[in-house]
Amino acid sequence: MIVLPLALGMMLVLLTLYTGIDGLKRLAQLQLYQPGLAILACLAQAANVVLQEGRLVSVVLSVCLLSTFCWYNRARAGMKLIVLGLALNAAVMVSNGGVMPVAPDALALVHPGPIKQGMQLPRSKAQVMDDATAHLFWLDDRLVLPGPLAPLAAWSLGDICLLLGVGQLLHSAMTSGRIHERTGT
Amino acid sequence: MNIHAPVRTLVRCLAAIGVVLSLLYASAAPSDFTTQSKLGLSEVSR
Repeated sequence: MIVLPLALGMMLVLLTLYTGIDGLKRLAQLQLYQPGLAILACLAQAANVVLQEGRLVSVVLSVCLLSTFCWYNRARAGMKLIVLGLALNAAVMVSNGGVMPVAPDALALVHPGPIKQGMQLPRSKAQVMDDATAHLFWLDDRLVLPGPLAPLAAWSLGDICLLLGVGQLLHSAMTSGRIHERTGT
Repeated sequence: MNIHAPVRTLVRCLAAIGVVLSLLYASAAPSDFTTQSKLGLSEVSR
């Protein structure tokens, strides 16, 4: 899923252009408590993607780890959106046996080849499911960017909330103290 | 010239980015083109 580091990289480039090199220095001062929980959750999801076995267990485990991580960092900006995004994605994945349903219409915009109901995307959490098959289908991967960016990926509502929350977290970290610098306080 | 401070700042910055990226990988699940175009789709019997 290269689109995630691409999205994160884009956010960092934009914020660095806005804040300058001092923003990156402030980012270095960002203190996230219990970072190991996020890393363990990532490894649990990696196992989900690579092994494609025990998917529901992997999802539940990673949700528990991430929830604990978010609790420890609940005072951070953006955490509410991150928790919302996590909850939305967790709800749809748990209700569909540990996979993220992807709408066939949306996937057709991302992948030009043949698409069949039930297709498992390799090295991915996603599986093609139409609205009649997927539980909580309105939360699945069905959103695409407009125009030439559409083939990048199909996103879920939870993904959008997560990216907005991460953006808010990074913005807060990279601009903290900047207001004080301007006002001289 | 003391290079430890900038190196330390760089390492901390990368560490923060790494944790945030781990958070995204663990929680987000977009269906992106690199998966399909490089590895192809496979059919699973349900």
